[in-house]
Amino acid sequence: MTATESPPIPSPSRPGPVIRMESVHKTFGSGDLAVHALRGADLAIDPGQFVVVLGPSGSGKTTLINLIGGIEPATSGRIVVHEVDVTALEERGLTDYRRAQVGFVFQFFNLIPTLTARENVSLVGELVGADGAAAARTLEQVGLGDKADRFPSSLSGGEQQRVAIARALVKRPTVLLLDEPTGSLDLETGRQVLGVLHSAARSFGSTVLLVTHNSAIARMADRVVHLHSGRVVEDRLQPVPLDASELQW
Amino acid sequence: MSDLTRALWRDLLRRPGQVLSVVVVVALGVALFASSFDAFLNLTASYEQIYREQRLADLTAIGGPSEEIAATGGTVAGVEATAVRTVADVPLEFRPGHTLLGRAIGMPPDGRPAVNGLIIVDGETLDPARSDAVVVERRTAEHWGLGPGDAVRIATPAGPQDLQVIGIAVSPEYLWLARSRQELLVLPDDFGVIFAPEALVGGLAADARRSEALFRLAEDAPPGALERLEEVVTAAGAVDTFTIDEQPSNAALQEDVSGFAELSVMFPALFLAAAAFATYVMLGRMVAAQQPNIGTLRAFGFTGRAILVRYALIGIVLGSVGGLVGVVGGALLAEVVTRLYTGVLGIPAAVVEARPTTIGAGLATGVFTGFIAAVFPARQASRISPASAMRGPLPPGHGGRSLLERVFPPLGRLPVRWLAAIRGLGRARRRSLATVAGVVMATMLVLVSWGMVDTVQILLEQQFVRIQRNDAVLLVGGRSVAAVGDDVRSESGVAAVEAALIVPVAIVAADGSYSTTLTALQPGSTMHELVGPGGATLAVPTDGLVVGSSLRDLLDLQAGATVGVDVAGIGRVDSVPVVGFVDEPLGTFAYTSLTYAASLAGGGAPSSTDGSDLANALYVRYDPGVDRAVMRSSLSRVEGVGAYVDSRGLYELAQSFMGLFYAFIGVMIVLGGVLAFALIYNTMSANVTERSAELAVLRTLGLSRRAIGGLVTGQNLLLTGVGLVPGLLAGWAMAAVFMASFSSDMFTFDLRVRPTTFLFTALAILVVGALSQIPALRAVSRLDLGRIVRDRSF
Repeated sequence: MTATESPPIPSPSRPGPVIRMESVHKTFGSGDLAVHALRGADLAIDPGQFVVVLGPSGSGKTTLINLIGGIEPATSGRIVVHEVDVTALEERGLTDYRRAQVGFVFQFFNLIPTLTARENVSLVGELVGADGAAAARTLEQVGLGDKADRFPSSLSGGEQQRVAIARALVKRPTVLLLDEPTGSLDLETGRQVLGVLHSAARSFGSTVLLVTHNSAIARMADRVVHLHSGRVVEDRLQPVPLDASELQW
Repeated sequence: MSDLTRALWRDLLRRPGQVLSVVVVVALGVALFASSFDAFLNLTASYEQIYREQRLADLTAIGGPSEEIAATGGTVAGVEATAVRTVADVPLEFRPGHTLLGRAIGMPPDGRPAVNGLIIVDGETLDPARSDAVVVERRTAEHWGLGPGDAVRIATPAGPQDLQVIGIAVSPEYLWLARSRQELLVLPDDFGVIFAPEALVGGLAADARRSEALFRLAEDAPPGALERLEEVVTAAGAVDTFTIDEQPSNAALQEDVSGFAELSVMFPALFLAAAAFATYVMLGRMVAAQQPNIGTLRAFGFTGRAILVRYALIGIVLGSVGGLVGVVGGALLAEVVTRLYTGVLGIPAAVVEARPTTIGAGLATGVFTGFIAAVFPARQASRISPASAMRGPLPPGHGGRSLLERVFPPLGRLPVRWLAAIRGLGRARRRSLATVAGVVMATMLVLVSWGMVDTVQILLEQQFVRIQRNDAVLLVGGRSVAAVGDDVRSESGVAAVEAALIVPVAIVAADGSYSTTLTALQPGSTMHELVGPGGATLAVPTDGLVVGSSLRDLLDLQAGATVGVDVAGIGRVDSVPVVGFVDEPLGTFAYTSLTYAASLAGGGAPSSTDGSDLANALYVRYDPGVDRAVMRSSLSRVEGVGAYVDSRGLYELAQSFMGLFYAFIGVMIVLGGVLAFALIYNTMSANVTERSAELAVLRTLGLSRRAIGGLVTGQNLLLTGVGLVPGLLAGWAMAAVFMASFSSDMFTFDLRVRPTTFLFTALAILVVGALSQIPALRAVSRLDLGRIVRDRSF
């Protein structure tokens, strides 16, 4: 897929999981210093699911989404996202894959400080050939339409994270990967951000994979995956997820 | 070593490229300083040693009653030795059939003058029993392959006389073989020097010889002795005088050596300033990145002073290492340069010393550079409060539209990635400033060097293509110039011939006198163009003289002033008007028409002749494509042609000297490139290191390596472009100052820079700027996305 082509929107009717991990291992270092971050993780996530991955520090949560996002290679195993075998892609293919299929949100927002909120979002929009108004529309959806021309330094932490979410969603990604998105926010701001995230992802039809050590957030998920020592130790559906505003921690 | 210091060094060693670039630039700066300064001192000492040993005259008085002048001058306090001699410029044949206008210098019968001695390097000195024996100057002998036992023919009033070579000598007067201050460039084919018994030289043609009184001052001569001596000999009737500083060979060598002295300041200063910038950038970024760690250390009880000392120490150590490498390299380079020069000049014993003062100054300069560069980041580090430990990493910086966008609002419609590049310039102002400063310095270095090449090339073209439009000058003797001219004109390959008068003169004004050559041309001469200030062509004057522009300052002359003119063989004529000035790159001469020369010959009264009967030389221009060697041979055989001066050969000689000059300039341009590379690389590395998380995030968003490389490259080339404009302007100004410092009555170097040179300099710096990013771009492509987004934020 080229930068000018619009990314495919996952069809709700598409059969089978959108993310499939088969016996995925990830080892950092070698010999006595080897660290096994993932030890044969298997996972299948359906389109449009809101999945929260829980686990203590060092359990392999971040590694899991880094592997799915194609920013780190797996040591062994297979990861297929939207029928793309991520583990078989070379550098160029990985760049195209990230551009078309994946949206990332990090704990510390990671906005470009010299670009306004709109420009931060447009930067990604331009990459995928989105129309000029897409950035403004996406910012509206995360409730920042009136602050589109502010620079990150004049936005609060929660607002910056909402810009980061808009930046990830503007290209309408197949999967949205979030690493501790509320880790540096207070409760109220965190709830607002999660609310915005949930509704925006839904409206874009993106599958959400959110990793956190905050178990309270899991209560708004469709599905909760527990990792421990690099293995999936629990994987359960949550029939009645809470609204973000009802969360407490 | 404390744990804190160890941690700092480990952090530093994680940036080997940046550390190396700082050390290399410091070392280059110190090496340039040490080598050029020591070469200056070595060469000056070498020249002074040979001048002292051979008692080179501190003052030479030309003309007048030389015996009386010597006797009177000898009474001045501080005068150690005096001598009187005759010097004659006469046709010589070092090889049968090849006549040139050489110089015979009178010596005492034993060949051991009290002033202006000789170092015999082959054979022996003059023998009182041998009236036909001569000693030949080393360079002349080398060119003609002469040794003891060979013969030299000299033109005397009684006809040609054969002389026997009994020795070859190095003369302190001719370390640089120059005919005069005006003719520093001469071909050995056109000029040679012999030292002959005074009785022989004194008997040569009267209009070809002059008497000289020579004075050597004692080492402990009282202050002002030279000035006093000059006054006394002038009062005693000397027509002109020149001091040791004005002596042609010494003046040429001093001009050259002074270039080293200037080099030892200007170029090293550029490098050291650049090194200071690079160190400042590197340490500044270290301090910024380590703010939380420093805050933690402060919270633990480390004093601000302890932090300051440790960061300052880094700069000092880097400066010391660069300084050490620099002084060693500089000392070696100075020795090579000194031996190269003294070898070419034939100085038997070169003074080569490793001077503690230079070593000390080099080391101190390196240390000082490192310290100055480190002290500001170190102070910044020492002022970090313990609370910083609690705040985490530095905030990402404030956003805002760039100055460029504010000045050119349409820029705001550029693609966002380009906006990010443009705004990134102002995000780390000091780092951007350091890059721009580095580019300015590198541009200056390259443009100054390249401007020197342009200036010399353009001025040589002006001298030898526009001004001197003849192929040869024939000095005529024994027949009328008109008759010789007819014969020359009839030779195959000769296109045009013009008669001229070429005589040594002294121009005397209220503020002093100046010895030079007066050339009287035919009206409407096509052989020598008189180029006035601003490049206008002047008509050959029929009512006075035009003189070289240097005399404006030297003799405080203005157009319309009158001067006295002492013409060899004619005498003194007062109240000669100076009607204009010529801008000639080489030498300072006087020109007039043959008609006006005739009036000078008549004591200043109007002449009824056209002056052609006064002519003693012929300018000759050849048909295109003729063989100059054949022409030289055939014209030298024409009866009455006393000597042949190859005008085109001088151009070739000048161009051959340019080879060494180009090599030197080439080195400077390469060093300029190294400077630019080191600085841009350093700031680029800091840039990429600091922005690794941001760049990694851009990768995760889907920007390819190429796109990010383009972003980073664009930003840095933009900075390079910003530095180019002031760099070119400052380089031009510095080149003008530099060239002006070389200008004198011997050379006039008005800066001439071709427009293409500005363009090529800019392109060269842009190319170096692009190349210097390669390591940083490789670092971008190697970014470990997973680790960076996992480990930290920005």
